[in-house]
Amino acid sequence: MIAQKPRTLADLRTSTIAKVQSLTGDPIIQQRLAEMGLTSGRAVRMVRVAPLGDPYQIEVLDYHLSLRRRECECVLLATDSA
Amino acid sequence: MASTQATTESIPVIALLGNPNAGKTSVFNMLTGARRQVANYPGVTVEKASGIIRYQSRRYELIDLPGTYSLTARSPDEFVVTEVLLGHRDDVASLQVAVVVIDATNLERNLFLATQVLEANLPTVIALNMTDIAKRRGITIDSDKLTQRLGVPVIPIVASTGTGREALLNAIANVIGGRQPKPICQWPDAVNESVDALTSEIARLNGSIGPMTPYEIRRCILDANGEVERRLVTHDTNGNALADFIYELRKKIEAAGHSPANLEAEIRYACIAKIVDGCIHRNPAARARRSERLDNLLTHRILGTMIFVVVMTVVFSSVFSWAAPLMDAIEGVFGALSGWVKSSLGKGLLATFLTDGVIAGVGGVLVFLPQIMILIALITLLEDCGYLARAAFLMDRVLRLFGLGGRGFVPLLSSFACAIPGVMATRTIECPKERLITILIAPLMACSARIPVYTIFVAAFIPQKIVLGFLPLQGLVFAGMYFFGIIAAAVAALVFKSILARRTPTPFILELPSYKVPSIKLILWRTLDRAKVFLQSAGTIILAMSIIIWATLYFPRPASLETQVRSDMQQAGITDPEKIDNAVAGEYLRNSAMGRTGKAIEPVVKPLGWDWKIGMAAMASFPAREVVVSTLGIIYNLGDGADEESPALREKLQAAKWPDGRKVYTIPVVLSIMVFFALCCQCGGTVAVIKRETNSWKWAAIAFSYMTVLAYIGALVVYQVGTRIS
Ligand SMILES: Nc1nc2c(ncn2[C@@H]2O[C@H](COP(=O)(O)OP(=O)(O)OP(=O)(O)O)[C@@H](O)[C@H]2O)c(=O)[nH]1
Repeated sequence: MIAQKPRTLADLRTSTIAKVQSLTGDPIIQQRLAEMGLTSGRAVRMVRVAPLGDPYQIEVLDYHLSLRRRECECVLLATDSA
Repeated sequence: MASTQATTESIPVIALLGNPNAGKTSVFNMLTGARRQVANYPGVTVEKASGIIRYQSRRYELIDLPGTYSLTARSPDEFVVTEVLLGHRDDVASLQVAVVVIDATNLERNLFLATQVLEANLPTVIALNMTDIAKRRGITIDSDKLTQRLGVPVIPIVASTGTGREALLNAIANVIGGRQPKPICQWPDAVNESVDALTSEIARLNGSIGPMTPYEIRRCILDANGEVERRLVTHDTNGNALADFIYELRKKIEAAGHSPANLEAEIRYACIAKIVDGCIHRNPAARARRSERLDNLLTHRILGTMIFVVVMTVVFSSVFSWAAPLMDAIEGVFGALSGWVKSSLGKGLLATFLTDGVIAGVGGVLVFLPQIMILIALITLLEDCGYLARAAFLMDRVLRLFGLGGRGFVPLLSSFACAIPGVMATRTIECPKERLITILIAPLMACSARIPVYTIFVAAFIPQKIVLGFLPLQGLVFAGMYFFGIIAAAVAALVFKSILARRTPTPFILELPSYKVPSIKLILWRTLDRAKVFLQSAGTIILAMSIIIWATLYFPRPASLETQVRSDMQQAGITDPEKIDNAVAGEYLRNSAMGRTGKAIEPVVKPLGWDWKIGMAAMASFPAREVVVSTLGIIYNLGDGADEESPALREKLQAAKWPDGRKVYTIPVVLSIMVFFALCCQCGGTVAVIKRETNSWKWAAIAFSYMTVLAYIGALVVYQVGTRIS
């Protein structure tokens, strides 16, 4: 399973940091995410998950952003950082 | 007048842009002295705000554009910023300067919009705001180096205290008429070639498409499903030719190894990284972790939820109950005023017009102010300190059941007190479609004006029984009506969502700004601003409706009717002057234009189980639903003083009979009336505020009609099913 599915932001454990590899999914969502700073090579940190399981709070470019799981799944992470 | 005309023509126009929360409003207030004029841009819901700057005996007009992260436009609402910037709107003079407010604590992301604006070919000044907070967090920014690298003045300011005002104004005055900024970012050849290709393709097609700047052409190619493309394609007389052409261009860009969707961001952020490199120094020791620690508490599963419930209870109860004494006071003053007019002018046409039409109408407008001002003040407070975004974060999951987002929670909650401030509170929702859906369903929440309606019918007809051992049946029906409203709203929201948001997915992107101490100045300013907007726009509409309804209830009024009633009463041996007066008032009402219409439409309300009196009372309550109680009072000859606690009205309703002797108010009829009042848009203020907030009569009409149709169908089903069962 680990090797099969590409790791996305939705899989990132709380308090860990990873780098964005690329975006996928609907072009409109990709464009919005990229505009907010989620471009390739950018470090993102998973801050927390909301008490009801969604949305997620992440840190990118010195600020905090909340995204839903669906949007997080559009952010593919680089594999080197575990 | 003529002289102001002449000066407005020549004064330079400046636009203010910036990310949400960058402090744009504070900069606007700092530059203009907090005086602004608000209107709407025709055709979109965006507010058009402008003010006058006075600097060194010159005047400038400042246009406040809506806060945005990017100039990418996917809807007409988002496109307004670009249109104003490029001088494509007839209602805004072409700009001389663009001022971009950027937040020093979040430099790179804020520069994204700034680099876009630099491509609009306008002299530009960058206001580097929040420098005080940045300093506290150990961030130092070399604004001179930034100025050099960006090629436009970057002026450090603290908008909340006014620091840097002179320097900013000086920079603005200096760039007017000056050079256009050089573009910062280089585009790959594939993009440049596509821009050229599309430009000549548009030129080749007939002139029905106006001239477009290279900037717009590039927007059109890069923004899939964007507003520029939509406009181009709808103007295309050759069917799909242009759409296909654009599609091919995107394919070509992709073939060159770029993703059109995020190419722009990749390029800009790469440029920005180079620009800020060496301009920004962070002291890691001073890094603010306070905000994150607060988040640990405020978004904690148990503690955070508890705090949320407490905060929302305070918000709700303040709109609901703190406003009540103020509303009572306003009603008291206007009641006294009416009394005084009546006692000094008698009961003639003029006196009733003044009291029941004008005074009641003005009172009916002002009575909403306490709720509006309390709610706006609280929302601004929560928004400004950063909590509102966390509330949205916590509630997003729940609101998704409605197909909405977390930002809809507070407006919908407030709508349980009153939909008018609720609809006004939707301004905090950034996504236009989501905001529209929230506006459309907010009036379905059981507002406080429904309470008297439910009270009178529940008290008169639902037995005082205890069911299941401990639940009072009356209370259960009452609570049931609240749930009914919520479920109806959820269904309506899902239906609207499937109609409105079918084509374009709207990502939920919510910035969680750092917590900070709220600014009292800003709270007061915004509260007064909203109150003014309400009075100016909704006030006149509510007043007009109130006068029209008054007239239909008053006219025609032949004196013969009164003589007839009086002689009938005399023959029947009734001498109590109050009873006679009430009988006269009832007869006049039944014969008024509204009364006659009520009788005429009886066949329409019959399937709901209603007689014409209920039908007429329901019609008379379209400006304000609670009026149904006093209208029923007049119809049943009790005068205009009957309220929901009045035992006399209760008895009259219980005793009401059809001509054939059957009781009018059976349980299915009562439920059908309550369901009707739960669903119907019987509130002139709500209609007026929807018109104002969506800037179109269309959406006000849609809200009004869908709710009225829903109410009719709901009442019909309840009555028909109810009678079959019982
Ligand atoms: N400390 C500090 N606070 C500021 C500064 N500028 C603005 N603020 C505060 O930041 C908050 C947000 O400012 P606004 O002016 O409402 O921001 P805005 O960009 O208009 O926000 P939106 O209305 O959401 O677009 C307010 O509490 C301001 O008092 C500043 O330079 N320093």
